[in-house]
Amino acid sequence: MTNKQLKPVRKNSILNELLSREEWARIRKPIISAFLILHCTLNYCYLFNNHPYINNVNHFFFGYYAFMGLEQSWNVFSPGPRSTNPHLTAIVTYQDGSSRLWTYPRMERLDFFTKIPKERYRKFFDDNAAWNVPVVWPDIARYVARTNYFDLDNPPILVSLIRFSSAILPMEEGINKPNPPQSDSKVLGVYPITAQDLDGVMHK
Amino acid sequence: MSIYTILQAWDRFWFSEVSPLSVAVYRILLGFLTIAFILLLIPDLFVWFGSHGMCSNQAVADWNNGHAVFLNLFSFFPDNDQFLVVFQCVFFLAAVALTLGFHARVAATICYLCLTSLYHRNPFIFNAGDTYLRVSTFWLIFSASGNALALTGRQKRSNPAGNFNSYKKVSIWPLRLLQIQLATVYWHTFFCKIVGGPWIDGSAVFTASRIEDLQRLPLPFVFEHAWTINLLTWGTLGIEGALFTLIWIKEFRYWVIAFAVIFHLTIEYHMNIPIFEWLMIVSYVLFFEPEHLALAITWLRNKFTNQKVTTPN
Repeated sequence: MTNKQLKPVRKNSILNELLSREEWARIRKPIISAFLILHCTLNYCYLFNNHPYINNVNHFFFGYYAFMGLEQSWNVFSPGPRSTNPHLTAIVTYQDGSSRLWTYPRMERLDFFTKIPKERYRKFFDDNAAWNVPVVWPDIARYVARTNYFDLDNPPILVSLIRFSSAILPMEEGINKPNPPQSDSKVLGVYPITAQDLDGVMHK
Repeated sequence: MSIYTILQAWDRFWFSEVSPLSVAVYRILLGFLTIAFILLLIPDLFVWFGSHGMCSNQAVADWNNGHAVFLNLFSFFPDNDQFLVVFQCVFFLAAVALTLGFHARVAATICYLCLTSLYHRNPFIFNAGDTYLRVSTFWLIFSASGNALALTGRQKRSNPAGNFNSYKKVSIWPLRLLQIQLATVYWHTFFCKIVGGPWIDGSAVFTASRIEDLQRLPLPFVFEHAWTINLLTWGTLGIEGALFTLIWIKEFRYWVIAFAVIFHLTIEYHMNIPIFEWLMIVSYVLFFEPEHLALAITWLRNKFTNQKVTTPN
């Protein structure tokens, strides 16, 4: 490509202060090429991290890549779709010994229009919190306690998080049959609630 | 083949010049989807990002082992719900500016900063579509998407006669990055699927159709017969394979895009994954020839306004 095809540096550009037009024309392509090679390589290494050398590259650049929020993965439904149907339930226990059941807006129980903005609940609970993100369980317990604190004299003192799930039948067994009920249960944690956790709750 | 030939090919692929029209149309469509993204977040904004929400800053820090530093505007005002409201308003205005092409590069930068901040504040609620939106907005910063169909810089950049075919050409590399990003999505998902298991034995679509929380509207017949399930499973692999290979070949491109649009609309009908399918569909515009886009936009303008302008080839 000849220089006449290169875009000139704009008059008011900050580059004009730093470089002459000729200097910029000379280094433009090498700089952009380095940027392209770096990012294409990082994307490849992050997506196909299957060798110790590739892992070293990822490790070295992870600070930049993660800082910029460029990490990506497109393994939706692979190597296979999720083979369970889960949901998460909380039992709120109050000071007087009574209890109350709580669950988040479950997609399968919502109408067509409501489930569109509520999809984040599916992602948060069914894909993440119910399985592999225990760091958010105490926050969920506190949130549930706050949203179920109705009586000033009878605050929640305990929240138990329980995951219910069922395996999806394989195709050869499942065609023309309904999904089994979500009856497998696991207690994820029992969290005591303090007065500090209930700060900010407004009572009428 | 000589090194010179390789360098020439590199130069042609990354540094030739092209009309900014396709990236501008992409900017507008991406802007609309960003607005939808923002509006859909509003009802539960404080649940996900608020100081008394379901995910604290501490939980995210613990998840990251407290080591990493992230691009996150919320770090400056942690647990500040007033800032969250201001943040969301600024994000909304930036998305509108991006759509209208009002200082498009600045608007894209703000949108990217906001999307990345939200992701780093609570990474547990975002799906692949949100990742795609975030990464695409990053690449959009480098593009000359504001050089066509934009509110600012109109007189300088567009033909006064309103001919969509005669925009001043711009460097192609940001468009290439966006195209490669789209191809990468299908490349990765294809290779993750063909390692074996349900996508090879033809049962994957059955399992996906039985995930209760993803279902939107029922598709009769197809999920109750083995042959249709097999066809859809292997068809998915075929379409995804074509979307990072055949889409680069002019003769196949529009056919691949047509099948891909049908594929994504079917998923959109059956599965509740807001925005994701539309993001994929609007991204195909990046592979359209600018002349064809110019024809389509001219036709649309003639249809909806009284102007009758033809676009010469």
